[in-house]
Amino acid sequence: MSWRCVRVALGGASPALSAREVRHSCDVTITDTSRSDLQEPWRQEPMRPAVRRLARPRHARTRTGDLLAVAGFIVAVTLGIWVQHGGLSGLLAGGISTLSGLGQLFGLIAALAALGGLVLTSRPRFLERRYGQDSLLAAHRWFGITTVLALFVHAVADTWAWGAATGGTIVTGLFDLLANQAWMVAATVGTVLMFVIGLSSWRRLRQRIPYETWYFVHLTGYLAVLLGFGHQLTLGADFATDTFAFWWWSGLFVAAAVFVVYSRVGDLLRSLTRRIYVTAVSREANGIGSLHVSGPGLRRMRVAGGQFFNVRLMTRDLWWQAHPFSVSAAPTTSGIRFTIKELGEDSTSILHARPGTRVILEGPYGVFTAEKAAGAPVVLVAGGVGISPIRALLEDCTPQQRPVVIVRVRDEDDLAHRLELERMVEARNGVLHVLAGRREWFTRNDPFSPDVLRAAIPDIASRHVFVCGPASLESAVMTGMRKAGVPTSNIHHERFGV
Amino acid sequence: MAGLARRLAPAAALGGLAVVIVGVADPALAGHSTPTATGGTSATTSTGTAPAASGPVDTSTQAQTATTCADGQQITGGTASTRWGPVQVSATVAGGQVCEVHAVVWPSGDGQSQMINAYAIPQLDAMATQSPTQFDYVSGATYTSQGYHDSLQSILDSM
Ligand SMILES: Cc1cc2nc3c(=O)[nH]c(=O)nc-3n(C[C@H](O)[C@H](O)[C@H](O)COP(=O)(O)OP(=O)(O)OC[C@H]3O[C@@H](n4cnc5c(N)ncnc54)[C@H](O)[C@@H]3O)c2cc1C
Repeated sequence: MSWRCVRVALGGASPALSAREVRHSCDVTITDTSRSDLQEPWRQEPMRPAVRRLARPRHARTRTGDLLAVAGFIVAVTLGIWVQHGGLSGLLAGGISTLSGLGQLFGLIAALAALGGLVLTSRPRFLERRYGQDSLLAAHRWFGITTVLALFVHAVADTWAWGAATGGTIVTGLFDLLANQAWMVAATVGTVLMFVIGLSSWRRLRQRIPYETWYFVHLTGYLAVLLGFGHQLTLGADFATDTFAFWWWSGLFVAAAVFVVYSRVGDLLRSLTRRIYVTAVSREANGIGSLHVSGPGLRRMRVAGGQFFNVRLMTRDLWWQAHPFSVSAAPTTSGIRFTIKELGEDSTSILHARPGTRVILEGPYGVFTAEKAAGAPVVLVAGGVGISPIRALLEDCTPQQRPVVIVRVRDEDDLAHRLELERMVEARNGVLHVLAGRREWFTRNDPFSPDVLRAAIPDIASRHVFVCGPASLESAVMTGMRKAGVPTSNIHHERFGV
Repeated sequence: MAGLARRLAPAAALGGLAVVIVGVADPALAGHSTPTATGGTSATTSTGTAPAASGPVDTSTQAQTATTCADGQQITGGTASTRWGPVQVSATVAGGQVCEVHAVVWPSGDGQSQMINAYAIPQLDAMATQSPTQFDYVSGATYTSQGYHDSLQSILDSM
């Protein structure tokens, strides 16, 4: 059967949508129930028995304590090798020994931080499921900063020491190293690469660079780590002569490489083998549209509302870029819906995709799911297109959770999925507040001040809060909620930007 | 596709340049990592490419010392093994007295050893020449100092 030419009849919560049908000459019919709500009686009858909600992701059993223990063990053994080889006594000996000991120590720190950063950014499942991609990338950022700074200390101290030990200055030391020492040109080039990568990730600069340009430059980080490896073995006093140390160190690099290949290539292969196609594109609100996808590749996926995929459209112009988009309705075997804001050139062209276009979905990622609330009552706050994960989360809530949904939009016309929100909130004993208006008005009458929150939601302190929207909204909500008595650990957020 | 080319260009240029520079200029790849005349003025280090290799026999200082302790006799001490490699010294003995000592072999298999010994060996040479029976260890170069001491002791014992 051909999935490329499906007839899509969009069953609809919204009358505007149900009128929309995309037809091809086909042998299969799929009723798109991606926006349907399986628990609700009014959705029951048009449903085909074959359509079911996709299973939710499995629990992650990873424990932070275990991870810290492993990391601590790696650091301890490495530093132990360093101390045993006289690193510490060298450091305390004064003069050139101190300088070269310092350089060595920071070299080890830089290398360990770089490997840690690689492992984090490879997003292995056992970490991603537990902490979510955004936390992993935030941690990756810190590891990266550590790498760059430690690398700087390492390079300066050791070149200086080398210069002094060979009767010259830091400059003659550098030239001697470059001209005569194996793998030192490689190490120096790797260091420069790391500095470029660090610089391009500096927030101020990064905001001016197109995402993909920055991303491709960032990929040269793999090369940088590789280039640094050679000189660690030939010049690194700790590894050149001690067999155990040599294998330990090489083992760490191999382990990191295995992690990266296993999780990155694994994710890629998984996503490539799933057959999924665009079934429809629809308009939801001012500057916001939906992308509907479906196909046999969906059947065995495990997704929860609030998660996102890296979405790649296989067209001539777009295949090389993937954009993260959150599912905006409970995913079913018949389809997944993304709600997308026309922000830039690329998100706009995604909303012009033709039905039948092959879609590569990498993921799902994220831990912004109803599971976090563990059945407790919730407050869901969305700003702008942040509505998409919030809308999907709402669908995963039960009537016992009495969801209070607060949506912040500039204008009522900017609100997507209004009808769906109203119906779902009603079916779940919840309330929907739409805060439409200009920002100025809200800064004077802060809807997220603790007093307002407590008055509007008396049991707020016992609720879990989910917020997704622009950084300014997010921080206003976080502060307000905390002051209103919500424990920080009960506030969950997903960030759309960098 | 034009979009891809535009966004890939900086990274491709960066990565390509890095690979080319390393390929052309790195001693490990460019083939000029011969153990000649490394280490500038001190001229005593071997290349870092051969782990666990020992320092070269230092003929230049031998020639030089022959003129200072003119009619002396050259005695080479035993090889003392240290954690980082062998140490061996050679002494010039004239009239039953050690008048000059210099190291001929020392650990230089790794960068740290090269660095440490580049400044430790000249110090040890100077101190031992002045007072062969009692001289201080060089801080940060304990193993080398120990080996130096042991090798010199074997010369003193044979006298
Ligand atoms: C976890 C997550 C979930 C998201 N969910 C949604 C959603 O449901 N609906 C929605 O409309 N938007 C969502 N976004 C935002 C969406 O990915 C960006 O708006 C989109 O990539 C913009 O692309 P553009 O090239 O059209 O815009 P541009 O103007 O080129 O970029 C706008 C901003 O998006 C960032 N961006 C661009 N491409 C990427 C990328 N591949 N990965 C990460 N950031 C990128 C840029 O750095 C910039 O800050 C989500 C983002 C994240 C991180």
